[in-house]
This record gives sequence, C-alpha cells and structure tokens, in this order.
Amino acid sequence: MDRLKGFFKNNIYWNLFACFFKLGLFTIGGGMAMIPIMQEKICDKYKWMNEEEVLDCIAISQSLPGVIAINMATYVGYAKKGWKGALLTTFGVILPSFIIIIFVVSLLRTIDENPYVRGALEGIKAAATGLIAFAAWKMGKQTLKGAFQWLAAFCAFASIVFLGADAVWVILAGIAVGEIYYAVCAAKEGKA
Amino acid sequence: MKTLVDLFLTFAKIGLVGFGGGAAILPLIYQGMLDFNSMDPEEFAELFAISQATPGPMAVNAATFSGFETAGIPGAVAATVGVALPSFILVGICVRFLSRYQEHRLVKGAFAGIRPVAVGLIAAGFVMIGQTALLTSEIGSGAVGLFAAIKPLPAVMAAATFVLAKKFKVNAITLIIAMGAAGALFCS
Repeated sequence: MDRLKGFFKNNIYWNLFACFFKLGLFTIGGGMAMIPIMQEKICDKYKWMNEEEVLDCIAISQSLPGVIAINMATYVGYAKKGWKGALLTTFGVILPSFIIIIFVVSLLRTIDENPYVRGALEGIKAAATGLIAFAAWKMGKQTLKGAFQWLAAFCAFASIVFLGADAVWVILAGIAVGEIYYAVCAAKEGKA
Repeated sequence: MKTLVDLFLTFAKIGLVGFGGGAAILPLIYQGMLDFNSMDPEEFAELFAISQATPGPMAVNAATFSGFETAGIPGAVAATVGVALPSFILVGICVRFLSRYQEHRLVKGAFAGIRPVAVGLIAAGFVMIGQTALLTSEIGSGAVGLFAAIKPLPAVMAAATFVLAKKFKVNAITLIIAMGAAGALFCS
C-alpha cells in the first residue's frame, strides 16, 4: 500500500493529471477563478514553475483563442512533459465538468415536470439573466474606455441581436478593426 | 454519426474563435445549436445557469451540456473534445515556438478589437437569456407590448441578482442557489 502511495505521489504524469483534475473540480465559473488556486499548487506545492513562469502562462492563455482553463492546462502540461503531459492535464481539467454535467442534466430531465423543480428553474434562469447583465457591466467598465470601444461593443451587440449576424464573423471583424485602430493609434503617437 | 461530426465541428469552431471566457462564448453556442434543433431558447437560460453553478470551466460545461442534450454521451464527448482541441494544438505550438509573442504589434491590435467586441457579445447573451427568463411567450408589438410581456417575479429576481452581485459582491453560485430556492417557493 505504501509503495502504491509512493508511486502516485512521485509520478509526475499522475501528479499532472491529478492536479488539474482537482482544479477542474474545485473552481466554479471558469478560467479566471482558477488562477489563484493554480498559482498555489504549481508554484508552492509541486514547484513546477516559478511565479514569473506562471504569469507568462496566464498571459498567453488569455491572449490565445479558446477556453482559458484548457489553455492553461495545456500550457503547464506541455511545458513539463510535452504532448503527453498536455494530454493528461487537459483531460484532467475537463473530466470533472464532463461527469458532473451529464449527471446534473440527466437528473434534471427526469424530474423537470415537478412543479417545485419548474419553479426553481424559473428562479435559476432569472439569476442567470441578472448575472450575465453583471458580467457585461463588469467587463464593460474595464474595457469601454473611449468612443472606439463603445462603438465596437455596440456594433457587435446590434449586429447579433438585430441583424442576426454570425458571432464568428463579428469576432473576426473585431480583430480586423482592432488592427486598423491600433495601427492608427501607433501612427499618431509616432507623430506627436 | 453525421450529428456527432457536426457537433464536433461546431464546437471546434467555437473553441477556435471563443475569446473572453464563458459569458462571451454563449452567443456562439446559441447560434451553433440552432442548426441541431435540439434545444429551445428556454434551455439556453438553463444551460448558462447550470454551467456557471457547477464546478469546472464554464465553456467546457456548456459544451458537455449541449452535446449531451443533442446526442447523449457520444454527443457530449464530441462537443467537449471539439471545444478543447483548438486550444490544445494552439497552446502546444505557442509554448514551443513563441512564448513571448504577446508584445507583438499585430497581437495587440487584435486585442484592441476583440475586447470591446467581447463586451458586445456578453450583452447579446443577456438579450438571448433575458427573453426566455423574463418574458412570456406572447410578446405584443411595440414598447407597450414588450413591457406587458414581462413576468414580474423573475424580473424582480433578476434585478435583485444584479444588485446583490454588484453592490454586495455575492458570488454567482450562492445567487443561483438562492434564486432557485426562491423560485421553488414562489413560482411553483
């Protein structure tokens, strides 16, 4: 038994998987909520990276497309043990979601005729509406600093809600407009 | 089989362009799922709430949820692998070749555009969810018709959620559980 414990404790592959499985299990909400726990585990507990490397990992994970939590998991796994490590960490961070969601949805679908469950779902949906309004407000406060940002946000909103535009194209258009805006700003600064 | 491939491709596309975290990804999932006819708008509000209240990254939860509703466990696997795969490949390549590229001009320019667009996407998600959570299905014409369609109790709960989150920094899970309990008592 002790030998078995020792194997799991010192095996880097097992630790990579287990560490990210726990991160997936205990962080609710998403990538951002994961950051403090990840720092603690990766710097202090396992000493896989130093503080600065973890900051690099967070910055790159945020600036790449995709789910931030998966980006961070892949980053740490790959940095430690190549593709094999990346596979284990990514699988680890996904697995808890996968199991819990299937369980919750199955349970919900068997009891959703019950009036109390229906009432609870009404309440949950109302909460979801309030929360997403809050998310928009919070992100907006951080991001919408000038006329360009307000206009870009409004155009994105209006083209999806009123024109039914495909969100994928809206994002790609945002990237294109951002490039132009940044180039113009850089040129202006160069002159001044 | 075709459904599974379609699910995989839909979520791979979402994984590839999904910037800005769970809430901004919602409109992408909403639009992607319309092709499958497996979810009505009402279920989207549930999807958002449950994805946020259960452990794990929200976008992964939402992918598993959508896939499972469409095609059971194989569907859940297809959607979840789909949403993860682009990240997996891109991050692996980045770590290998250009770990300090984020200071690059083109990258900064792209983000100058993506960040405000993400705010617009989240606001669009609010409309999508709010429609089913706060309005009855018969919406009259004009502002009066819209106003008359508002369900009073859910509207109050949504407003309360916003205020509690903003002013009192109550976290999302507590709010979802509390409103679920309130709904079970008052809306049943």
